[in-house]
Amino acid sequence: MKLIDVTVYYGNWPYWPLKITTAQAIIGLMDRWNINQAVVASTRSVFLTCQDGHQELQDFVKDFPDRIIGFPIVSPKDGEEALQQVESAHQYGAKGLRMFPQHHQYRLDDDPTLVSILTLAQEYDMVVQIPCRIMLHWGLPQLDVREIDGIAARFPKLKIMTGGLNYSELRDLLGLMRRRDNVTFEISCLQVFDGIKTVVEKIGADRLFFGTGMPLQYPSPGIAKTANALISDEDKEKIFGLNAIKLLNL
Amino acid sequence: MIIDAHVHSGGWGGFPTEAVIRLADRVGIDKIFATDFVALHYDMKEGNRRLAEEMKKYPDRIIGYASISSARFGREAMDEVRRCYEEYGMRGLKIIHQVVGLGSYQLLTTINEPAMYPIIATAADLGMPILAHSTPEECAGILDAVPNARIIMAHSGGCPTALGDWFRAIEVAKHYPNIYLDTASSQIDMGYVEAMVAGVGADHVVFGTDMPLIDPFFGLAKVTGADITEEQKELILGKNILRLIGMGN
Repeated sequence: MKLIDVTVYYGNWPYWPLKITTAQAIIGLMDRWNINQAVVASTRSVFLTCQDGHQELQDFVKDFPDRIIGFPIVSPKDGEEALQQVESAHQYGAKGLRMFPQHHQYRLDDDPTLVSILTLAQEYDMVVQIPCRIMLHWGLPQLDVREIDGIAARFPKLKIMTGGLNYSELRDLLGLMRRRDNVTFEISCLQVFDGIKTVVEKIGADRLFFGTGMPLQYPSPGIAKTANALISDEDKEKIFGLNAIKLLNL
Repeated sequence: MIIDAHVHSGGWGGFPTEAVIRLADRVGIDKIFATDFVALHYDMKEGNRRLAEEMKKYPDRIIGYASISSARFGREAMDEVRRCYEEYGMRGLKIIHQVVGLGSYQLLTTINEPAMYPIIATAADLGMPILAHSTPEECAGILDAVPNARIIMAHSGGCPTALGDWFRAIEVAKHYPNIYLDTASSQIDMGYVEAMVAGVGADHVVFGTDMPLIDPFFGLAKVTGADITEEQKELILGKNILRLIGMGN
């Protein structure tokens, strides 16, 4: 079974020391847990400027093209520069973007730059990841998943992937996914018992994606909860990797 | 032997105790140290009585926490703790602070208040460890008032009211040898189990899952997958809690 982890980070973490910060160490962690490929974003882009993290991410992808899929982080607060970053990402073959309104302090509204970013992403068939939490940590900022509804409606062909949600937000997530076919979900923060089974039963397995949040989070619990979910083996294969292969055209 | 020291029984989340036992079987958990949902959140006497019945039904699987919903029941709560120990054979006490409304991070009541101290002292005198859903500072305050209590800090900072700050939990626990750290939490910050072991020693870390709210496969994997020795894992996964209730070395 192929494991594709759609939520991985690269770089330093300002809140506490991380052991795994280098490209080689991330590859080592993937090898240890038999993760074949990873969708990676740079933490430098979260905490400094978005552009700051793009070069190191590109280098990581270049060094490990068969293992690493780079998702540069962009913010509409960067204005025209953000649009150039999307163009640049598209030119070097990035298959998606990651956005953090809760960290970069903007709304998913009708801001012209945001609209332009999403228009480009839709045109280039890029996945736009909008995790509601960067990791499951109760002290870090959180996006209300209901805020995604507006952009999902406005861009019905845009491939939106959310995540970072746990038991308290599950009902709102299911409502969003019922309303918007273009919204998918990654499970790195869904720690509630039977959470995966619930989403599969109510939405189906085709829109669920395996993610660990490593190296901010341990990878093994995410693997264990997915492997032991009371769903079919076919559905597990989809969640662990087949859905990502399809969505990202791998 | 794997013992889950942080379990909710009695129908929490729609899971009857029988379903929790079946879930423990699937995961490979030998015993659950359980608190009754009703006792902790609504009526201590009704809930503790229910748990006592379930302990009779599963004598080899369930160890019971006496639970109280609030220190403000005073003498009644003290008597209930003693009764749970003497009549029901419960071996721990579960207490919880309360928040201002569903989903709030703000405390309505703290467990670190004078009304709680005699209840804690009762449990301590009976040798019952106290699983305290609390902030690290609340645990410290309780031990300042009742130094011989043994507190298992539920979630070790990994709960909303403690803002997920396990680092602070470890720092506080370093100064209070009678604080033990519970692994149960939705959080899986990479390195935090190793940090707990480095900070307070593996003999002061206790395995918990918070099932059936949190996925126990997930909870077990964060301990089994941590970079610590097999001996340290054995302590965390069962030996420590047995020692705390006088059933191990």
